[in-house]
Amino acid sequence: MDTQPRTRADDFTDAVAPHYAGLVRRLAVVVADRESGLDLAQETYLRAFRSWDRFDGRDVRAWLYTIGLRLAFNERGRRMRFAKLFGWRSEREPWVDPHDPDLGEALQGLRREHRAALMLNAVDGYTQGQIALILGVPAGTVASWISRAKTQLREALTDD
Amino acid sequence: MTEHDEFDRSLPERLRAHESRVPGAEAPDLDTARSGGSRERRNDGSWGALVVIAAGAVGLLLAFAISGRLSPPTGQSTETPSPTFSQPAGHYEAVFLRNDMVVIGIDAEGHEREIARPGNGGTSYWPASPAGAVTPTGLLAVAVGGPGGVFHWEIFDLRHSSADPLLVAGIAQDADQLRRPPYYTPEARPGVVWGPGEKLAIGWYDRGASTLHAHVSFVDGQTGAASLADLPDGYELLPYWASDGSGIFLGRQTQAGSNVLSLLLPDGTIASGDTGMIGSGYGRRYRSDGVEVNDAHLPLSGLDISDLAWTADGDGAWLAVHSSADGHQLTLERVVVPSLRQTMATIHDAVGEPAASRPEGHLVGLAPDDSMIVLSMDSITGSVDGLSGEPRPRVLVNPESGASFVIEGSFVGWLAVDR
Repeated sequence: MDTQPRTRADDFTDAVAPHYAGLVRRLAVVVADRESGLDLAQETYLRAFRSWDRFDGRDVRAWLYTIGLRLAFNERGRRMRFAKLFGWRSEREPWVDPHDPDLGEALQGLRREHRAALMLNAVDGYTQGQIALILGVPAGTVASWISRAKTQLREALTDD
Repeated sequence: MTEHDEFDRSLPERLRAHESRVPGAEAPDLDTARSGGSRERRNDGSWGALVVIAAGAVGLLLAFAISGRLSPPTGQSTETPSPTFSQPAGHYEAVFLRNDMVVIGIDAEGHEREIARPGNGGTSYWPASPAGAVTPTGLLAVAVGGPGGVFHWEIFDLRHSSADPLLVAGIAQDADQLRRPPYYTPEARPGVVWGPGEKLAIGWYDRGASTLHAHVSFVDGQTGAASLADLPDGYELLPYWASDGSGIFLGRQTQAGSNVLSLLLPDGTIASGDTGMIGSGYGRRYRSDGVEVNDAHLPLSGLDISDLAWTADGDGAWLAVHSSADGHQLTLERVVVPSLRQTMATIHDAVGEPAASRPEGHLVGLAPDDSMIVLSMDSITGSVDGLSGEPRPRVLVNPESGASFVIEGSFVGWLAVDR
């Protein structure tokens, strides 16, 4: 029988690790680059561990999104700017669904804040108020971002 | 069902399918993460490419150093930029609004004085964090609410505080639009911006609409007369007026990631953005010649930057820099082209507190002569609920002395004062 007491790290890993793969996917979609998403997820994981004592224990996924998406917003597109300096061009991401190829391209045309708000709302079902808490902006701003994201996607993906 | 409805109905599933195709990853090992961060464990070849990029960036910076100053992008003026905020000369006070409409002025040494209590005794009320903007000459625009939670705007003359305020007609806002003062942050919508000739632009959107209808009210600060222009979809209202007062600047991000400037005129016309720009005192993302501050133009490589803004003379940048070598630190630094970087003040220092949350600093206001800078501090905490509702701490910094003061209230701008 294992008699070793549970550690803080054990508690953290049990609570957070199941959400890690989803966090990588979400950050990759928001920054439109899996490598950056992986970097951001690892940094998120580290910061979450450092702040574990402060976590209120309610919604681990929202907490991880809170840290990770704000990191993504603060990244300031450094990678893109460096890439442009050397004439690199972004390639279509390899995960694009061959049955829905235009969606990936249309998503890349959105601002990353708009992508984040849309994914939190449409995929996860968070309300505008909850998204406002996660992203640290007023609910009205969230409404604006979601509205603009949907409008832009609709224009790109329908014949209207 | 219309095509519009069908699109909305199917979108969540399409997004879910798209996201599910991204390869996931195993959670990192905590021992490794704690011993040195995450990046060092990645060894997939991409860092080799980054080394090449870094070497290229160093080469570019050397070229900048040799040439003596940075060249602006093609099409931008090569003349030495003028200060971005050509308002009355003299000394300035940072102006803060506190609950019950107390207007406070604070000088560079941190001395406070009560300037006015406009609207005293009225039945209106103000939100917990009052929203407003002041001109250097003393006109204060403030959001004023009623019992139904619907807000409008009034203009007070701080030079004659007993005078009745001017009512700005045609605006009805919810409180959630007003929870941030009209300062610039990368994602925030600036609410209210004064321009040349005591003209005022107020950005707002309709209450309760299912889709966003955003507007800009152009207001004569002397009379309160207002005209309304729609803010087109895809444009961001920027806190910068044209230097000739003809309109206010809008930004629109292209698919390539660049930001195109244009000008919104009071009649709703969108004109080209090649007019000179004037600052608002809330941030200096752009210089008066329209060049955006970013790390493509300045030697900022390797810094963890929370926010940045041009200096008043446009030859360098103010930075809010985070470091975590020993606990979390947030410093205000100044970079002068081509390479001089100087720490002006330490805003937050949590040495010895490994669990301290990361401070994110935003440059919310810069005095026209850079004699004072106001920062807000946000931090990532363990509580999602803790992220809203609480006013962020404001810190007033005197870059010359390095002194900093935590200030209560909402920052609303800069007032020119005689000494």
